[in-house]
Amino acid sequence: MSAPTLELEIADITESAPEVSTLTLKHPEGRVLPSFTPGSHLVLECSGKANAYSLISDPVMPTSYQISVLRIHEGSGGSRWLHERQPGERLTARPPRSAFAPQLKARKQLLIAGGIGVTPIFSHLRAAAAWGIPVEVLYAHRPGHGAHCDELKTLAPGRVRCLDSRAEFAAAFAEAVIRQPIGTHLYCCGPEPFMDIVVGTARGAGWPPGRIHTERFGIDALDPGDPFEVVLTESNQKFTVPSGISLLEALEKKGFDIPNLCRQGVCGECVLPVRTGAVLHRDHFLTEEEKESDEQMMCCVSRAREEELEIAL
Amino acid sequence: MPTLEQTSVPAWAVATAGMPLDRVAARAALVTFASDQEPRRTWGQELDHAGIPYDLIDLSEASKADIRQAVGLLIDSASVGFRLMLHGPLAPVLAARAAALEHSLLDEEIIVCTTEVSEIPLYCVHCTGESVVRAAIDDVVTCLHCGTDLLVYYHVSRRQGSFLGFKHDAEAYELTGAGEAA
Repeated sequence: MSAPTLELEIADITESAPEVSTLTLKHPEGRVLPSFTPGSHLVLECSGKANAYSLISDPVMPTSYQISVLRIHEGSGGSRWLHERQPGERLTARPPRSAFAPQLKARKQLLIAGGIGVTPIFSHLRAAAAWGIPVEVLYAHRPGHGAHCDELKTLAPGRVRCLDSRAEFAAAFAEAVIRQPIGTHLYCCGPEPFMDIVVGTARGAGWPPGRIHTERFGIDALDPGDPFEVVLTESNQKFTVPSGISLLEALEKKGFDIPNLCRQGVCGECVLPVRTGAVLHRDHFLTEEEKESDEQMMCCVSRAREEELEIAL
Repeated sequence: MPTLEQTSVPAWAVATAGMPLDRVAARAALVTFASDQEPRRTWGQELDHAGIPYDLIDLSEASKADIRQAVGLLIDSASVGFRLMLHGPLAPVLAARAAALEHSLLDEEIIVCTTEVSEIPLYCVHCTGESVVRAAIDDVVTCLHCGTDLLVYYHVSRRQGSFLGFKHDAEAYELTGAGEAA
């Protein structure tokens, strides 16, 4: 089953930081686009690949969507392809999807961004400012590579710190995390090691998991993995998934129509039941218990830990 | 009745039980509604051992309104990392939990130890009064405010901090005077 798609026209492209392009997308006939929850993302079809990008624009009855795209040189090519687009060209997108929604009961939001992870944080800040929710933003970026800093500071004057050294960020976060009033929720998006440090520091300061929300998009490229054999028990097929090809891509090449959306181990759409075999889980959807049971897998990113997997398909 | 896990009734509301300490807590308040030294002996020692600073607050004589107010003030001055530990009979524990939830505490920040569950707080949907009565789920008891016979339903309101009670025979046909069948 395929999700409905939207045709969008590129209305404008600007550079928000070195290697970061901000694309403004509109309906080709100027119609209002579907509203979305702050923190939502669009999945764009990028030259045969599907990449997810957080929406940074106004979420209510929008006449345009804005996304900021970091050019990832060693990635799968989707961001490079988007950077080559020109105004007037059209893109195909899946409607906005929410996987990083704000907590409606939050009394305050502590928003933590690392690098291009600033995009969903921008969206959360925009919503918090609109709703009058107290907010504090720490944004770590490389010197000279802070995207949207001025817009963030305009939305929450005096509440945004853009920090361009790791030590400065670490000190600022260590100080901030221990003085947040009860009712604060922490939202974090950035590279995996950055988020691991943020979550680890917060947990160490006594934050319960229910107050910590992370957006884990595959901005760190996964390694290509080893080849493995797949046995499909229902359709009596056996084939090899080569290194660098996901099980999802391999199944699509065989003609299977596997429901999927983000293709980055986040959304949970492409789950498959596993009969036997140990899975190398690389997704952010299944719980630790589910991963340990090896009864299901996200075929867009996960692979076999050993030589063979039996899938009930 | 469905199994307890399928209801809003916490296990510690039908049998006395204590949750374990959360050792990652940065700070805690140990609120007791039982006028004994038990929490200081058990949780207090554990908190000391874990190096978690805490305040011991005795609300054993407090009314429900006072409990709600005291717990609200306690939480409003706390920082994330705080845990609220509630020790005592069910009725004040549920009242304190309701206040804690209202003041934005998460379930995982509330640690409960019930010492007595035979007396339950029961909310009457007919007069909105709350009675603390000796009863259990499925019992029928009289509302202390309006006299209605109430069925103790398997629902505990997180907001009210009480079991739900409603007229057990509201749909029963009443035979009266001239209308009696021959």
